[in-house]
Amino acid sequence: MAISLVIWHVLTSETAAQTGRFTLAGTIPIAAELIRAQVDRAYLATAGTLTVVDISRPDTPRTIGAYTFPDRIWGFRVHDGLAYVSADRSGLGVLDVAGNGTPTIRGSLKTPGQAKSVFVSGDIALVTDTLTGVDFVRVDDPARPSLTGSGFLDGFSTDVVASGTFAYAADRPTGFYVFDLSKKDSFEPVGTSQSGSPNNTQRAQLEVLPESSGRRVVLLAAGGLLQLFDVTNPIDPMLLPPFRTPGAAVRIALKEHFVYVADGQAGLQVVDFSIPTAPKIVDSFKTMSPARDVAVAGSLVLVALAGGEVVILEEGV
Amino acid sequence: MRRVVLLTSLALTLPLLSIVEATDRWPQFRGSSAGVADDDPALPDTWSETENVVWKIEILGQSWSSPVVWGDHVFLTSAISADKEPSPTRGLADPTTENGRMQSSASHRWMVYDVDFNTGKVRWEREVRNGQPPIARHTRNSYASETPVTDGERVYVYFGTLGIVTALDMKGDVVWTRDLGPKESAQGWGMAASPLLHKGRVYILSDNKVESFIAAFDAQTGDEIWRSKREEFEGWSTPVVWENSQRTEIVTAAAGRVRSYSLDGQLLWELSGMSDFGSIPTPVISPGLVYISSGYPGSPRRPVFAVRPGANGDISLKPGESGNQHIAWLQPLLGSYQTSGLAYRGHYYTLLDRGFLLCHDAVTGKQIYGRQRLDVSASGFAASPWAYNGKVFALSEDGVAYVIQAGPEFKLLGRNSLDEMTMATPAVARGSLFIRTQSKLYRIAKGTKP
Repeated sequence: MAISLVIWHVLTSETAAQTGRFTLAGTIPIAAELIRAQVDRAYLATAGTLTVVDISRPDTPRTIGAYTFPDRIWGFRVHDGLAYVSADRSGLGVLDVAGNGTPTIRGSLKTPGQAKSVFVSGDIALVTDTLTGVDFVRVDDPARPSLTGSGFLDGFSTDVVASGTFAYAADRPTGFYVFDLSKKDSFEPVGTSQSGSPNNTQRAQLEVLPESSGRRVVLLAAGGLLQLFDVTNPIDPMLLPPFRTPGAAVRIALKEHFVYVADGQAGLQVVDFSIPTAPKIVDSFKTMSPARDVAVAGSLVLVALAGGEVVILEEGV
Repeated sequence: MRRVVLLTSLALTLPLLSIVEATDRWPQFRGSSAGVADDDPALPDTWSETENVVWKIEILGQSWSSPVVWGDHVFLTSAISADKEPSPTRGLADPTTENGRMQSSASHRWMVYDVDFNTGKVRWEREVRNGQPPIARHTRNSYASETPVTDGERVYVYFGTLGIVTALDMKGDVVWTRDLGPKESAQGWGMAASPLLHKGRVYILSDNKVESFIAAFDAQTGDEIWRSKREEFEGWSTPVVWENSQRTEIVTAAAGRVRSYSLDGQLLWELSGMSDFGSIPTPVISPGLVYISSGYPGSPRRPVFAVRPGANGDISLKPGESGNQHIAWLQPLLGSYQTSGLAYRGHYYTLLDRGFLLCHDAVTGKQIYGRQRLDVSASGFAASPWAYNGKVFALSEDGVAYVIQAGPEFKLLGRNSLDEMTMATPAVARGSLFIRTQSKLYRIAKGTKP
């Protein structure tokens, strides 16, 4: 009954505000703070709990199971059937989320401070930690993650992402750092820059755009803006003009060169970054309550709403 | 050459006459020389929970105030809750839930202890107040974070939580008490600035969201001599008396402005440009410069200023300036958040809360060496560094003290663990090191067998 009511409210909103190709496929009645999606699975983080939801039938999403950490989940990534979770003072947790049962803990590593986000690159998990900066953690044996080194960030580290042999990290208020992962014994950044606007977002997010004409650009959703760094020359990252969405860009998801933006009060925005210096909004979807995270899995777009649910949108052609 | 301090009561009665060598006292937060102790071969380089421990005693409650020492007296404060309080987390915290704020509803007892230097036995203990804390605090702060001060006649205790400043004689009897009233800080993170004692006056700094002030009180009577209002809303930095070549002044650090006052409360100079949030490190005095720092990691400004004697008016730097007539040098991103700097043998050391030591030329500000990580597994550093015998000491929140060779080359000489959380800055006196952990007070000296 409760679920039906939620769907009815969102449908009303959708009818009034949808501007493009999106149709509402279903709703997950969980107040998620973070979401990610892969194929037919959605992963939702609320406080210290990570919930796995089967979305193979979007109209009837089904909870598979959940795992609760003692501390808040600030970030997570799913990689090869494992969820790597940054859970504040609990550090890094590795959950087996591949099966059809409740997620189980495979391994963990207490990082010195508060673990804020994680990205997996090969057999290394990069974990941002407020105390150490970016921790480099070997996860070739997920049951026994081991710290190999740390790269210091001046401020409070917020997120890290990697592409190829480089990793990119951000901190609050304004730092941006490039690490060369091919340098196995060095954990010092090879390049740094400062963003133009202070990043006061606890859950700032970094993503690497697909290369365009030999140009590599990293996107930082923070401080309500989409900030861009040209990292074509990794030792000299260049701050590009930011892109301002109609609302306040909170979190992002990538599909090729399209960036799906959880845009706060303005709902969902889809921004074409095929020309990184000239992004343009190509679609949007007004949500019933502010959008606070977004995930993309094939043709499904999931939007976590401040109102306490996740809407599953089907993206048309 | 050991200096000798002759102390007399104003009445000059012979029974009260006491002679205490300078090395036998550590009368205030960070001692008389901003964390630098006189060299003494008896002082320890290595210790553990048992090695070189002369004595250790249990101290109830939660308090991050430092011990102070005068002769045979080791004074300590604490706030003891009737209920179990949440244990403080280790390491620099990125504020999250409630912005780190907590309010205890349990009844507390605010205590002062006099511990015998030789035996570790509590000579006397005095309950100053009891009741529910009237203000909130940060989960990592305590309700008794202010370090007392002593002149060998009395010990002066300030509990900022209560707004109470009181003088006790060496037997623990209350001489006078001033109730300044509890005042909440802007973010509800509690208080920590310690009192200051200089030539018969006790100075109290209270930056809060109600009415910030600095005030001077007669050390004998508790009478208020002057009070100067301040436009600040929170702060935890202990002020310092700076006796320089031109005058004696009181230097205070805060988020809004650094301010220096004459001994009669007149504003001498002020300086803007500190970190966004309230200042915690205590200014560091040296004969020719005073070093002022703040370094909230989430702030784009994390400066260390070195200020020359004789400044007047607003000495703030203009955009793009790294110094002026009054500011010898600026390092814009060097400041630490909680730990104070250390000026020792011509070098200025910065211990970052996240476990790095940096060294700069104390006169020019030129970097001698950059960030040197002490231990990647350390939870963080809140206690201020100290130095003696050519060594710099950095105490982590895990209770591990790292021993670093002083000088232009970074060299980690050793690590000594007490295996318990600590945030209190140690004291050094009479060939002994006093370390307060979460539940214990240690006296450590060389040559003590387990």
